[in-house]
Amino acid sequence: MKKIISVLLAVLLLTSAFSLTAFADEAAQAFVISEDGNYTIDASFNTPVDIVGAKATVTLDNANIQADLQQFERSAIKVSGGADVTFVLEGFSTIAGSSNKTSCGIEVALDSKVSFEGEGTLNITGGKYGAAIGSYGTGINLPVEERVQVGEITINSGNINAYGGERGSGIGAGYHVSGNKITINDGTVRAYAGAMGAGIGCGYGTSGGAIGVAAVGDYTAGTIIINGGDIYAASSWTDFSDFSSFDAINANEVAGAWGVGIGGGYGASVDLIEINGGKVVAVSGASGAAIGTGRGTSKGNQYNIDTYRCNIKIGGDADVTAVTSDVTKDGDHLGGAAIGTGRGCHTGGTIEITDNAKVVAINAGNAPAIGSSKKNSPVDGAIPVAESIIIGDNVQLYAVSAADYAVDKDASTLSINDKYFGSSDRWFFGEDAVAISDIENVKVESTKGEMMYTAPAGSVSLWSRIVPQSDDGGETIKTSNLGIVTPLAMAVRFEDGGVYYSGDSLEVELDKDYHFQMCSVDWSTRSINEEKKIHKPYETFYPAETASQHVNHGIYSDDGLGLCGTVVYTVRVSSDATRMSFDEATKTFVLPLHDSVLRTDVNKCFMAYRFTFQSGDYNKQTGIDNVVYDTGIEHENTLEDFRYTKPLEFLSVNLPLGSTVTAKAYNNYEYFAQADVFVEIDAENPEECYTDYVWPY
Amino acid sequence: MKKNLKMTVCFMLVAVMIAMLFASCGVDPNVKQEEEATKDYAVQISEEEEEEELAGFHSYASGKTDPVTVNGVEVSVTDFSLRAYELAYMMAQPKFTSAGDIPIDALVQFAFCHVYFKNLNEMNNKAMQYRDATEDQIKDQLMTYFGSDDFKVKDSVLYNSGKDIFEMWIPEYGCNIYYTIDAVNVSVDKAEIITTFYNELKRETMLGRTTINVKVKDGKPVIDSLSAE
Repeated sequence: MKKIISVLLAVLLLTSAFSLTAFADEAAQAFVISEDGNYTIDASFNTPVDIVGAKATVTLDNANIQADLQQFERSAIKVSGGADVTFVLEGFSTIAGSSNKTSCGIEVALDSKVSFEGEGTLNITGGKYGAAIGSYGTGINLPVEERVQVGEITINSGNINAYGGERGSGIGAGYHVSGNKITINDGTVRAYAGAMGAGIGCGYGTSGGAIGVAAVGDYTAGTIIINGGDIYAASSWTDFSDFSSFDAINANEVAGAWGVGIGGGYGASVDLIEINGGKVVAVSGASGAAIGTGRGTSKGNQYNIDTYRCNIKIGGDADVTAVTSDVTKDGDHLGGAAIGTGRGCHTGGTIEITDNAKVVAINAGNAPAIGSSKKNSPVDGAIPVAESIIIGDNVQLYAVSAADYAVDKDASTLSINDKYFGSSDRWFFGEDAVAISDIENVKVESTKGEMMYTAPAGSVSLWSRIVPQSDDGGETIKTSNLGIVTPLAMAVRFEDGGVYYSGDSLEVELDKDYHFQMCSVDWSTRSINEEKKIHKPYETFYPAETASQHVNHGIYSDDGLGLCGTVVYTVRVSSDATRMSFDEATKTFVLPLHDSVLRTDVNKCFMAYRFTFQSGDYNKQTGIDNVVYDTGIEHENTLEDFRYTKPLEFLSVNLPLGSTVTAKAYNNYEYFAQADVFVEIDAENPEECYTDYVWPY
Repeated sequence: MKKNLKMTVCFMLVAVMIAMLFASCGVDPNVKQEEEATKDYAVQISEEEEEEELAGFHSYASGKTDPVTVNGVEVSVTDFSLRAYELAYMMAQPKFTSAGDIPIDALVQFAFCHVYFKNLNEMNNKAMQYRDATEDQIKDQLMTYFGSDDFKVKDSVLYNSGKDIFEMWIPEYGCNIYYTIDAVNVSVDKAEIITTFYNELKRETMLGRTTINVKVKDGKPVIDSLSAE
C-alpha cells in the first residue's frame, strides 16, 4: 500500500510541486524522499528529511529545520543512496544540524551530489564535527577504508551563509574527513569554518598521527573550483572589515587559528584550488593560509611527504583578496602564508596566477604573502620553499608582508616577466617601510565591501604591479557626502564597522541603503569633562587627525567603551527626494541631495533616561556601566585624569534602544545597589521624550 | 593489600572497556590518535586553552545539575537555569508570572536571539552582526520556551513592516556564566529551579539568584514564571 502511495505521489510530483507537510508521517523520525520529483519544504515543516536515491528538486521556501530547536539529534537533511538533488532557494531558510551529535545542516554522502539554485537566502549551520553543507565528522581518526567521505557540491546561485559546526568546514567536509569536489559558479556565499577547519574545503584534518592514516597530508580538501559569484570564506566567523594597516588586521584577529579561508583545515592537503572568476575574499587566523593549507606539524614522523600537496591556480578575471592576520591572542605570529601553505609544511606547493586575475595578498605575520610558510620543515628542518610560483604578464598583483618577502623569491621555480615591474612600478624585497610608504592606494574587497588599502606602516616587503583603472570603462558611481548629527555622547555605527560622531561626514553612494545602529559613548573619553569644565590633553591619547573629531563626543568602540543598540536603521541619500523623511515601518531615513544630513532623534533612535531616587536625590548618584561610571581615578588636572568620570546626581543619559544597561545607585559616591534596565520606548507614552527610572530608595 | 587488589581489578576493567570501545568503533589500534600526537607548535597552548580560545564563551554549572522528571517529561535544569539568567540579567526582566508580563521588545529580542543561538552567552561580542528572522521563526521560539506564541510580536521595535521581517544587530551578550543549582523542587506539574550565579569560576562573589518555575505543556517543558534578586 505504501509503495502505491509513493508511486502515485511520484506521478503527482512530476507535474507540480507539493508542500511536504501534506505527506509527512508524523510518527517517523524523518521524512523520506525516495522517488524522483519536485518537492517543497516550507516553514511549517519541522522534521528532518532523508533523500535516498532520488533525482529530486527540493525547494527550500522559508524552510526551518533546526536540530537543536526541534529536538532531534542528526543532520537536518541527508542526501544519500546515489541521490542527485537540486535545492532551489526561496525566501529565507534556516537549517542546522545537532550540536550534540556529529551531523550537518545538509549531509551529502559520497555516492550523491547536491546543487543550489534560486535567489533566496539559506542560513545553514553544521552540527557537532560536521560541515554546514557536506559531511559529518568523527571524533577519532579512522583507517582510510572506514573513513567518512563526502559527495560533490555545486552552487549555481542563491545567497548561502554557511557556518561550520565544531571542527567542521562551512562547505565541504567534517572533522577527520577529506573533501571531494566543490564547484561554485555564481551566487553569494559566506562560509565560516568551525574550529581549525576551512570556510570552504575540509574540516579539521589532523594534528599529526601515524603515516598513511592520521599524518599531516593524509587528509585533503579535494578540488575546489570557483568560476563566479561573490565568495567570502574565513577560518571562523569574522568581521574583517579593515585591511588598512597591519595593526588593524591584527586588532581584528581572526579566532580561527590553524584553519584556512579556502582549502585544507588543520593538517590537510589541497589537491587543487582553481579560481577562474568571481570575487573572492578569504581570511585566516594564525598558522593557516587564507587560501591554501592549514597548519601542519613540526614532527617528521607525523608528516606524510608522499601525500602532502598544495596546488593553487588563480586565473581568468578572478578578483581575489587573501588576508591572514597570522596572530594569536597573545600576539604571537606563527607563520602561515596568505596564499600558499600554513606553518609546519615541507613544501610550499605550486601557485599559478595568470590571465587577467587581480590579486591582493596581505600577510600581517612572519611569512610571505604568496608562497610557503617559512617555519622549519618537519622533514629536514630546512626553510620550506614553494615548488613553483608563476605570475602571468597581465596579472594585477599587490602583495605585502609584515615580516617576510611579499613573494617567496626562493621558490624552486619563479616565473615572472620583469619588464612589467619597471622603475615606475614598485617591486621591493625587504626594503625599509619608509621607502614604500608612498605606494598608491589600492582597492580591495573586504567582507563589508570595497575599501582603499595603502601599504601599511611596518611593511618590510611589498610587491606591487598596479594597473591604473581606465577612465573609459564602467559606469560612474555617483556619491554624496552624508553628514551626521547625533546628540552629545552618542554615535552611529555603520555596517562596515565605522563609527561616526556628530559633525562627522562620510561619502556614500546615491540611492544606496546603508544600515546603522545607535551607540552611547563612554563618557570618560570625552575630552571636556562637563562636570569640572577642564579641557583634557586629548591628542596625547589619540592620533591628532582624529582627536578633533572626538572633542565633546567621547568614544564608542568594540572593546568596551560605551554600548550599542540592537535596532537596525537605514539611511539613503536619494537623488530624487525633495525633503527629508523617516519611514517608521522600515526605520529608514531618506535624505535629499541638497540636505544629506542624518539627524538621529530621540524616540526614533534612542531613549533619554532620567534616574532619580524615590526618597529624594540629594547626595545620591547613578552610574551606568561602560557609559557613566567611576573610573577610580581621583580628579586632578593631569594626564592620568583623562578618563575621569563619576556617577552623577539626577543622571540624564541617552541610551540606544534594545540595549540592556547595568545601572548602579550610590549614596555620597558609595555604591549600594544596582539594577539591569532594558532600554525601550515607553509603550504607554511613545511620544514622551524621557523615561523616568526611579530607584526605590 | 585488599586496596591494591581492588585497584588492580578496576584498572583491568577500565583497560578491557577501553579495548572494547576501540574494537566496537573499528579503530585501528596502530593509528596514533589526536590525543597521543605530540604538540608540535612553538607556542604551547593547552587543550583546554585551545578550546576556550577558539570556542568563545562558556557556562560552568555545578550543584544539582541532573535532569528531573515532571509529569513524565524530562526537564533539563541546566538549560532552564541559563534561560533564567538570560531573562533576568540579559533582558532585564527579573520578575514575571507569565510571559505576557514581559515587554514585547524584550520578549521578541529574547526569541530572536534564540533563532540563532541556543545559549545567548555564547554570542560573539567582537563586531557588528546583522541578522534577520521571520515571524514564524520568532513565534517558534516563543512556543518552545513559553508554550505560547500568542503575542503581538509585530509590535516590536525589531519588526520591519516594509520587508515583513524582523531585523537586529546581535547584542553583546557574550560572557561566561558561573552558576550553582542550589535546589530543584519538583511537584506534580512543575519544577522550581533555584540557581545562584557568580562572577567568577571560583564562585567567590555572587551575581544574583533566580527562581524559575518550569511547567509541562503539551508534553514539553516550558517557562512558567521567574523571580530574580
